[in-house]
Amino acid sequence: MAAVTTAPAGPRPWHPVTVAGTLTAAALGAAGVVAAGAGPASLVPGAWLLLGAASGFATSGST
Amino acid sequence: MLSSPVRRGTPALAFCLGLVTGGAITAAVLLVLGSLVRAPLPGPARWAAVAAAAVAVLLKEARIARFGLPEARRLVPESVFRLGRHLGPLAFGIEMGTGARTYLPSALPYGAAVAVLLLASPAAALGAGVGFGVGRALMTMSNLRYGPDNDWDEQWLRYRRQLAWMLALAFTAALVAVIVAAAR
Repeated sequence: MAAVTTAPAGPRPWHPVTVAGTLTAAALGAAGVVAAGAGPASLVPGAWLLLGAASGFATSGST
Repeated sequence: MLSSPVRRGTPALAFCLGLVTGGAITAAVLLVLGSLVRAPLPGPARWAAVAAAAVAVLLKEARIARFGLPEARRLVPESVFRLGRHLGPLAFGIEMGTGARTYLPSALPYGAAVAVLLLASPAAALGAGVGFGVGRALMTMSNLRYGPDNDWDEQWLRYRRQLAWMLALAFTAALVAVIVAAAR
């Protein structure tokens, strides 16, 4: 009898593309909100945090 | 990727704490250096320098431009783990979190460093530094949670071009956000 394998159930939350996609969506959202002039002042350190996070995650091949 | 003694549980948390601390240390150093560098530069020159650096690193990420950047061409020595079950991973994390003690396979941190150097307030610099550590910690935590052995690393290698483009887009969008906010 052939072995039965289960197919992956949709996107995996910790897949590198999922993590990078989440960072990208957050950064695009922050840029959109700031460009529209609708964001609170507290959004700016958050945008800096995303800038650093994208840079840090991009170095994931180093360890 | 996680061939070091940084595995799971509290040592992994100590490692991530070290990454964030290291990022904050580098940001603080850049902030101090920036206070010296910014003094003779008028505002438009600083904006232009940040924009030029961003364009350069994005061209390098896209492999359109090829040029070397300074980096520590070595691995963090395994001897740090002699410091103990938690202090070892913490020290390892701090060294990696600074971004100055081992290889940096992406140019994006250089663009972020120039932006912090020339534009960031203390709060913004802290945000960028902590963010850098969080970004590196995301690798550790997602790797540990994704699956057994080297599955995550294999996925990273499989999608590395797409990941480079996505993260370059995230970097650009975040930089646009801080520039637009600062220009107001």
